[in-house]
Amino acid sequence: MDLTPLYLSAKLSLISTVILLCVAMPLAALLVFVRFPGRFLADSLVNLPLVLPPTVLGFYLLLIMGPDGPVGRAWAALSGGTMVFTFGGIVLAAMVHSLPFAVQPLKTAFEKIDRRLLEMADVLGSSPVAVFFRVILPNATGGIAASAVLAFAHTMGEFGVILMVGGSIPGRTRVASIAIFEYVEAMRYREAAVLSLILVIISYTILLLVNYLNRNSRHV
Amino acid sequence: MFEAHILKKRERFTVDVRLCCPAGELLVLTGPSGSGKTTVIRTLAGLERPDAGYIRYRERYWFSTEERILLKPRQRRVGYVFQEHTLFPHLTVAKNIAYGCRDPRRVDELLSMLHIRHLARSRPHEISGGERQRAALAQALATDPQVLLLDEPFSALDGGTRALLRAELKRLQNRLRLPVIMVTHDADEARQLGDRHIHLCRGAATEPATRENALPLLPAASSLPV
Repeated sequence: MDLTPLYLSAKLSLISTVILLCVAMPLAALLVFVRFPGRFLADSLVNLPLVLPPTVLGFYLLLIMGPDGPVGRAWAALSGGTMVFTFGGIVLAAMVHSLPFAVQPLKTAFEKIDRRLLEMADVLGSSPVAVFFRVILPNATGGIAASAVLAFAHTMGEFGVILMVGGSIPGRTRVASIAIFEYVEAMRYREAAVLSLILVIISYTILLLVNYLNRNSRHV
Repeated sequence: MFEAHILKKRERFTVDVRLCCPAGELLVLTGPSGSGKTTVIRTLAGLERPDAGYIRYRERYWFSTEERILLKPRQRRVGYVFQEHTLFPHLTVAKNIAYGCRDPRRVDELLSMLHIRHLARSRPHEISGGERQRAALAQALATDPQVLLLDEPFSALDGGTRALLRAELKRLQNRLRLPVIMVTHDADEARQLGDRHIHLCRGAATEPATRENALPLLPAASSLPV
């Protein structure tokens, strides 16, 4: 049985989670600690992928990342290639779709930090960037771990958005969830069952990990 | 000399306080809860912005509406001690002190000065309230501050520890010769430590006074709100 889709799913989840965390941590800090006009709108925009049907999100991403879209054109100018139907394209799409899953646990963790610690760091001479790295992040380790685990799990099960942006190219964009769908369509239930079982085990393990992290962060 | 005139509108009254504190003296701000004491000390540190007035240390303005100057807290070089929860929970006592310290050798010196050398590797949650406030004082002094601001630093401690730390503060004040401004509810503490006193009521201050003539202005300890 071909396990490439599973490998692709894991690779996609790992890469998109790492990049997503680098984006989500400053974004969550901005939404929690900085007052700026339109913060409420920005907060809602971050959560939009939670309520949008994946096909709708995928459709807009396809337009933006396509050869005539702004992101697609910028990518072509930089790399000379296209973004849609490539692994890079599905990494970006998975990041957009998992953004709220990464940002929400971080926001919750940041909101729990005693504001006096941030004030103290400011009085002690730290710049906002230094406060972020020296005070905020070390006091939100549980939230960072929960954010990473949720983003990873969400991307592992990603289907609609990846199908819209990446299609189903074997070895490049055909991830586990798409492979399961295609196995079922072809009535190859044995392969579908094995891949599904592996995804269930991974997802359940991840949920156990999230619960463990949440329980530990409550004890801090 | 550290001096300030602070005007800040609050919901029910306007804080309007003039104060001055020469190096080596300790100015105590007293008054009932909600009288604006903490607003004043937070404003001096730069944690709140006054609506008008000025804050000046020697010839340098930290805030002035006339000169259109507003320094950020990190630009003022003040030592600040909160009532509690001042220490970073993820750092050891030594690393807390080192946080704002320019000279690493100063950490050892402060650990000794505050008698907490044996706690250097402990985390804040592993030590007592009195030890935490000693560490907080060391942390505040580590930046080599120009002014020391204390916001009810001993109010969460038991009587014995409070008395010890008061004596410690007096000793430090004499040794470091800094202007020290302290907020307290405790009339005994104000009497014991203060060289100057300001009593606040609904944001308005009595005149800065000497220890002798200011004491009658302080309400009896029993009448202070808990």
